[in-house]
Amino acid sequence: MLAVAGAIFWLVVISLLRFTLPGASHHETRLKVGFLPITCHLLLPVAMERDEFFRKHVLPVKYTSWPDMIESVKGGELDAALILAPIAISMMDQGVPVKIALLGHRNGTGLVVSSKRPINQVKEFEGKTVAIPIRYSTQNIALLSLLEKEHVDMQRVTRVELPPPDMPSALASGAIDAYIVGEPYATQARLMGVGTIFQKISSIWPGFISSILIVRKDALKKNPTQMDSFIKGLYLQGQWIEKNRRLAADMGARFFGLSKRLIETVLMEKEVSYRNILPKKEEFQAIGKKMVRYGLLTKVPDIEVYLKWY
Amino acid sequence: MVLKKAGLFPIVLAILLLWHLVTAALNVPEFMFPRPLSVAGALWEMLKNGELYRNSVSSLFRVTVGFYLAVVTAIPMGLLIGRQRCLRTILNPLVQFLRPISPLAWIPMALMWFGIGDKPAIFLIFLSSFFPLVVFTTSSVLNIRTTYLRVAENFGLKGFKVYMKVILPAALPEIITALRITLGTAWLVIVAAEMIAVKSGLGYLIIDARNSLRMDMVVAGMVVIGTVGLILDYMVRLLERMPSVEWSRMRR
Repeated sequence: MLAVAGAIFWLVVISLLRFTLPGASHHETRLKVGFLPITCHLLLPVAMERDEFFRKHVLPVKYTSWPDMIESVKGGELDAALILAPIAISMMDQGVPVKIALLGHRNGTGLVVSSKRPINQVKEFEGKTVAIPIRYSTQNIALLSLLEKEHVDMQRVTRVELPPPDMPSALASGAIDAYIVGEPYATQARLMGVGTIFQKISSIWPGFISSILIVRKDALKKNPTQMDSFIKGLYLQGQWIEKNRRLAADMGARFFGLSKRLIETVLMEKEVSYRNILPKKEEFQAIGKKMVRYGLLTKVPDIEVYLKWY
Repeated sequence: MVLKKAGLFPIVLAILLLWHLVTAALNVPEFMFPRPLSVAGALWEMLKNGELYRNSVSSLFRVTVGFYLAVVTAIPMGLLIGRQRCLRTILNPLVQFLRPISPLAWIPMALMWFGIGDKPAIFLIFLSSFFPLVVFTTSSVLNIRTTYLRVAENFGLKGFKVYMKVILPAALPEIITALRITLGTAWLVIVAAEMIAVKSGLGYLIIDARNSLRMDMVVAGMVVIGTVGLILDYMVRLLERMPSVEWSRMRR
């Protein structure tokens, strides 16, 4: 009897403690937006800092891995998400009700090799292990295109999927020989002194697209004006970042919980661009075609449908 | 004996010292494995800004609810399966099939069905405890000496009363051991469960620290998880000392 009473007492105590914590959830009317701590998602923290509308009506939800975010979009937990373009295309193919709204940024992806065991030309990737964020990424597609162009036997290059934050230390420990990833995780290896950039992907794929903003159709239908202000607000931050890179880096570093020096280095090099972030049909079709080519998709969905709004 | 008298403190101190000396002697960089002092610093930082309290409470809440749900459903179910041959034939294969599947395999479904926050984590904890508890309870019922059941029959006990007066008390010692084991697993699973989309909890603390490249914070999180785990185990051990449980040990 005493034990049962004790057990019930504990349940009451821990529940009380839990629900008096600040931020214990109640009914949520804000737009839930998924993101990862990468510079491709910088529009969101900058908007949260600068835009009154965002502070009132947007709830950013931080993710640490792509698969978790994918499931949240599919389950309807998120109203919008910054997500890799190939993931979005394959979601469309699977019939997940989403629309394409914006691009996260352009360029800002690097192929990094170890400084201790350097690789000097593409041919040398044969027999090596290269980390990619997830197979449904433009990073993976860019890597495969590069290997194919230089006639490297793709079967002999081992690709492993790793969460981006793990890549620099995996490179340092020798578990992988190279990795391809969005910023700031390429620059991080450089700052840590463990890696050098073999190639910036913008040099072989100008205007490279990594993440895009997708919104769920049901969220759009429920409150179109809110969604409209949300997308426009994000778009405008892109223009502001271009003129205030240092300030934007500071906001991003605080919001993402990453080192300020790291984000600042990436932004001040001005390779990443927040201009020209409206989605274009041709670019998505090109990504779709490459996905089919590399066996990630059976056919390219009609992109037009997902770009049309109302 | 000497060691036991001296207590835990000197041993902990010795381990910390060894840890410091080894990392210092081999010149291990902080980002590979942090020194005890920086871990202590991270702990202090978490204690001051309330992160430690906030995340521990969230994790403990999820484990408590998930584990309790499993206890109140699995034990009655196990008692029934142990007693009723036909239930056993039907349900046993299903339970045995689902039991070896790691709760982490359910993560994709948990995220889609329950969204993010407390619910998916509680669901995973429930799964981690439910199936083992059913299996343990069933087998503890099957292990009850037939003498007890015959005596009960001779005294004319029937139906519900047999469960309350004979079966549950007889199975209780083994069930308590099962509780201890499953609570340990639940605490193992919570950390992994919180590495998926939640914004609080000790698992989140570790993932968040890792993404902020704070290895000292990661190890500090591990220290907290270990300590709470020890405390939980100690609490369930207290149950084993109850008179209604201790008789089984005296029997031996």
